[in-house]
This record gives sequence, C-alpha cells and structure tokens, in this order.
Amino acid sequence: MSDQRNAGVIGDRGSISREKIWGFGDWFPTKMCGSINFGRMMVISAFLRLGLIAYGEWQDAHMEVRYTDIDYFVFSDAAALVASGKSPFERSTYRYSPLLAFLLIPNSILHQSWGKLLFSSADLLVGLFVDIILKLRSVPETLRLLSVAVWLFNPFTFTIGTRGNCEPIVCAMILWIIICIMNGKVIQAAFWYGLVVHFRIYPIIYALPFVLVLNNQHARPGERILKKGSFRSGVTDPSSRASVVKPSTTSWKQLFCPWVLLRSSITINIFLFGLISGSIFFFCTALFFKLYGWEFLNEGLLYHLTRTDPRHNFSIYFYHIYLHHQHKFSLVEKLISFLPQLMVQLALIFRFAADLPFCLFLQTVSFVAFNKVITAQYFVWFFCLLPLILPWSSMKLKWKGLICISLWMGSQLHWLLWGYILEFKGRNVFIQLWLASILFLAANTVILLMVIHHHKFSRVFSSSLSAPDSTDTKKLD
Amino acid sequence: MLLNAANFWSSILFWRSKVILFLLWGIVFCKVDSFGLKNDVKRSHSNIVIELPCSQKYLTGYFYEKRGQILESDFHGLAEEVGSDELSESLVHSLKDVFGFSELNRHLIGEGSHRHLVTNFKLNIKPDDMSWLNNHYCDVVVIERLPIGVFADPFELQHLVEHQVFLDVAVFGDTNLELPSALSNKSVVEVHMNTTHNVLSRQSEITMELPLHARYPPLDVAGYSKIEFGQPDLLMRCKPQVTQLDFCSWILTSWNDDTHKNGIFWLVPCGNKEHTTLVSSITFISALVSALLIVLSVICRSTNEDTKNS
Repeated sequence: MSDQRNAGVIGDRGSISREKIWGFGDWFPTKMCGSINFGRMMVISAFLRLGLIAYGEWQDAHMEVRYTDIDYFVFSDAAALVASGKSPFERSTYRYSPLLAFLLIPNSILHQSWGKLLFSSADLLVGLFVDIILKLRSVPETLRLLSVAVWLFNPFTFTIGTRGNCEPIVCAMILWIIICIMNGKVIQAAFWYGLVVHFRIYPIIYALPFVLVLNNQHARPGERILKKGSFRSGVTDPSSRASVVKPSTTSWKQLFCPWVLLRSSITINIFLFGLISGSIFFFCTALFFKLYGWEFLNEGLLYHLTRTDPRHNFSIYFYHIYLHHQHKFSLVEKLISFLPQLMVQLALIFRFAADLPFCLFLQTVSFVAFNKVITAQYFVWFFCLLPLILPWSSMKLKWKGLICISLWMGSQLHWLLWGYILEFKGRNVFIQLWLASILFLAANTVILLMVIHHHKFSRVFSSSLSAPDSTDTKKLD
Repeated sequence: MLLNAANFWSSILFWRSKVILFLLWGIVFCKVDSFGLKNDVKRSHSNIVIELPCSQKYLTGYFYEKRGQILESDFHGLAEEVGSDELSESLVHSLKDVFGFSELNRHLIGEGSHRHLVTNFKLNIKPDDMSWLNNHYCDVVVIERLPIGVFADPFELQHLVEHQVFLDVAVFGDTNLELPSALSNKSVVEVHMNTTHNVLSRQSEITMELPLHARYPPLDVAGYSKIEFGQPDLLMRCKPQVTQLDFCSWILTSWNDDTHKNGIFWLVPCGNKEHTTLVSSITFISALVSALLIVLSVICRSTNEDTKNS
C-alpha cells in the first residue's frame, strides 16, 4: 500500500500481546492461518453469498414465506418507476434516496437479482476495507483475518445483503471514508461523506468525530502522520498499557470553551471537509427536490428525522409513543427523549474521537440503543465497525466475550418472544414487551460499558506533535 | 339435491326480481333520486346491471372517481344511482337473473395481527339463459369494505395475482400500511376471480382467502379492540366474447338467503390508557440512568487511566 510507504512510524507505545486479544488462541489456532489467507476467505464468502442468492430465488418461487426482504421489492418497484421516467416515491413506503432506485434500474432490465449482487458485493467490499484499515494500523495478519471473518461470516450480515437489504452499501461507504481520512485524502472523504449522509441520514452523527480527527491531524492533506506500531506480535511491552490511554483532553477543554473550539477547528482540512461534504449533500438534496419535489423531502429525508413509530420495535420508546399517538408530543417531551441520546453522543465523541473507529462504533451502538425506532437492520450499522475495534480489545472470548454475546442475543430473543406473542398470537402483552425493550437497553448499556472497559485506547494519528495534549495531561494528573 | 335447491332459489329470485325490476324502471324513467326502498330489501331480491366500458377495470374505482370518496354504505344504492343512466334495456332483460349467490359463509383464520378472511359461497347459474352465458367471459368479483382497524396490503395482493390466486385485485381508500387506526380511514378491496364454473351443474363453490392485517387500535382500558366485518358485495363481470362494442356488464347480485347475517369480529390487543404515566416515567428514567452510566464510565475510566500514567 502506498500509504504505508510515507506513514510516519511513531514508536511502539501501544504494543500488546496477541494472546491478550479476544482470547485469540481460543478462536483461531495460529496453525490454521497457513491454510486460510485473505483471498481464499473472500472467495469462500463470495460463493456463500452467490449460493444464498440462488437459494433465495428458489425459495421465493416455491415457498409461501419469501427469502427476499420485503424492502427489496419496494426498491425494485421504485427502480422500475424510475426506469419508466416516473418518481420512485410513487411506490408507497419507498423512503430512501432516489440514488438507490437509480442503482437498481438493472433489476428490471437485466435480472431481478442485480440489486442483491450489488449489495453482496458491497458486503464483500466491507471485508476488504476492514483488512485495509487494520493493515494501515499495522495489525498482524492473523488478527486481521480473524477480524475480517467476524464480518464476512457473521450470519446476520451475509443474510442481510443476500436478502436484498441496502445497508452493506452504507457500511462500505463509511469504511471507505475512514480509509480516506487515514490516508489524508480529505477531499475524497468529504465527497463520500456528503453522499452517505444524503443516502442514509444516520452517519450525520459521525460529523463531529471526523472534524475532531481532522483537527488533531495537524497536517495538510496527504501529509498525515498515521500512528503505527500498536501491535508487535508475541511481545508484551509492560509499559504499553499505562502509556497508551491518553484520551483527547483537549476535546474536553474545547467542549467547555467555544472560542478554543472555534479557533482551533478552522484548519484547512476542516474547512475543506465541511465545504465539500456540505455541498455534495445540498447538491443531491436540491437535485432530487427539483426532480421529485416535496415527496422526496418528506419521504426521503424528513421522514427519517421525525420518525416515531407507535408499532412495536426494539426501542424503549415504542409503548410510550403508542400511548401518546392520539395527541401530539409537546416540545418538552421531545427534548426530554432526545437528552439521553445527546449526552451519550457528546461524551463519547469528546473522549474517544482520536481513536476514530472505536468512537464511531460506540456512537453507533448507543445511537441505535437510544433511538426512538430500532429495527434489526440497524444492527448492521455497528457490525461493520466491530472488526475495526476487536484487535484493541483485551476482552477474552472465555468468558467475558461469550457473556457479552449471549447477553445481547438473549435479551433480543427474549424481546422477540414477547413480540411473537403480541403479533402472531394476538395476546395483549404490551407491558411485557415494553419491559423486554428496557431489558435490551440495559443489555446494550452493560455491553457498551464492558467494551469501553476492555478497550485499549489507541489514536489513529499520532498526536506527539501537538503540544497542548501533553500539557493538558500533566495538568490533569 | 344441490340442483333442486338451486332451481328452487332461482325461481323465487325470478319472481321477486320481476317486482324489483319494475321498481328500478321507475327510478330510471321518473329520475327519482331519493327512492325510499330499503337497501336490505333490495339486497335479498334483485340483480342490478351496470354497463361500463371494459377499460374500466374496477367498479369500485369507477365509483371512487365519480364520487371522489370511499364507499361508505351499501353498493346497491350507489349502483342504482350511478349505474341507472347507463342501463341498457335489453341487457337488463337478458341478465336479470342469470346469476345468484347463496350460502355465504365467512370466518377468520389464523391468530394475531396477520389473518385471513375466508369467504365461502356458491354461485348459481340459471338454466334458461345458457346462450347468453356461452357468449360471455364472466368473472366473480368480491367487493370487501374493510372496517377501520384492518387493512389489506396492495403489494401482497399483487403477489397473489402473480401466483394466479386472484385474477385481479385493487385496494381503494386509505392504503397506508403503517398508520394506527386513530389516524387512518376505511378501505375497500375489489377482488376478481376466475370462475371455473361448471355450466352443467349450474352451481359452483367459490372460496376466497383475503390476507388482512390489523392496525394498532385506539387505546382502551378493556385491553382488546373489537373489529366487526360487514357483508361483502358479490358481482359478476361479464365481457362479450365476440363483439366490436367494448362494453362489460357488471351484474350486482343479491343474497338468496339471509341465514348468514351475523357478522364476524376480530379482537386486536390495544394499549391501556391507564399505563400512560407509569410507562412514560419509567421509559425516561431508564433512558436517563443508562445514559448517565455510560457518561460516568467514560469520564471515570479515562481519569483512572490518567492517574495510572502519573
């Protein structure tokens, strides 16, 4: 990679033994790595996905219950409308960017599985991007393979792409933006960021960490100093644990002193990033507004911002919303429900922004957990960031890792059980279902705390050049 | 047995309809709009014929366009009002009693929010007018006025059309699939089905399974909201086999028996208004506690690490 050539290596402050990471030995015996390489893994994944797409075709044709996601038919119908020169929003419940409908035009021309192939390719691309990011951060090969496998062979992710869900495209774009930022390609990162926010509004929550990282970079585009050497296989540096965790204390200072934030944040990188991503976003919005009018704004954009669904979903707010659906919410009620979300986001951003992938992961998990509507497809948003933080976690699969996984799955299955009784048995279990939602939030919180506790903070970019950091740390000490 | 019963009913139908047709002509010629005959009397007695261009695929759609609103009441009243102008005298004579429906039987199958409304009935064909029948393609049309609180998914129904369960189907009115009952309106489903009618037996049994979904009902202390279904309208839509005139006849038939008047209902679980304060406060408290825990652990963790550093 050309990026590694000019990357400034700043010591091995963050080295950690491989054995410490995710009970590495338990997961993936080192001997296996000889026979499994990245290329083979990708080929196996590609065949797995192709097989599932073919199977999906068969199930759709022969069985009552379809394999294909219901939204895929919505996309396809919208694409067919676009192909015939109509508005994709003529298809009710189409609530995505018209770009998606344009991407799926071949569905009605070439083959109806075109979209699934596209989404599954994006899914594979995410695997490739995970590998690139971890390579840029000098993660040893075996660990990289393990992390990539966590994405590629996660049953949740490979089914979502092959069933025709568009989230893998968003995941690939997010990861590509991270790569661009790591490589100092600010303009390209800004372009993709503007596009991804237009495509799916939620990545707007990443704006602040991106800005903070670009701000701390202290380098012009193309001259970034990427921190390397967090890993040195097999050797444990006793001093490493103490020295790595120096969260961005400047950020705290910036938070409470707007002038400092303002003065320090207007660097050329941030200016370019803001200008270009903003322009792309507004250009797309204006273009589609011109083409499809208010329908686009209402369905494609405003719907996602104001969405409150009274029907049951994983969110703790669903029953509260249902109980109030016959009258409108007051501004105070809206603000109160937004407060926990805002608090958590700000705390995470200002503490962990320098460790960008970790920050994005935590932000996404908590954003989904505190959201007013949660559906299972939102989980993909953080599944694609999970492989990027695993190498820095000291949590072992035995037993803490397993506890986390079973806690998350268990609380979800518990919710699904009550959801099934309500939806498919017609019994009034609203209270139980709502309590199950609270339990799911509790599980998410516990897991988040455990992940934070076991994470080895590691900056994406070295901040050794930034003098304020060290002085701030001293002050704090 | 069946044949005898059919003959018996059709003969009754024949004589009764004579009377009603006479009354119908009264409407046509006197242009009396507010005719005082009760709907259910008409239902149990006569067939009404409407002739429309075949390009008009759905009768509900025709009324919907004409009226600009969903059909609230009985179809017969509307059919008379709207269709009477387009009645052709000869056609009415020839079609007056070719078809009849009987033995309507309805029930819901399945549990929960997604169920099937099964409608079972018999189509009777009058023996006299086989020549007319042989010159026409006829389909059975069921018009189901759905009560507030349930909806049919037009896309799901389209899927059934693709699988040749139905010939054609359309939903009119409030087709929003997501809104709760309190924020939505009624809808009407028009289903067209192939009649593989056996002309010789003069009777065929028809079953329609309509997939329906419950909306979230308005709040109630009782815990369940009761949704009651009315009776569907049954029609035949006949298209001439060989003709230059592209006109289709819609024959709105009535029930030959009134034995299945008792409606069916669906109990849908609903939220309890009394839970409001408790649910809202616990929801906000749990969100706030979780948020504070995360924020505190973020702050504390880094402070600990910083202390270690020194």
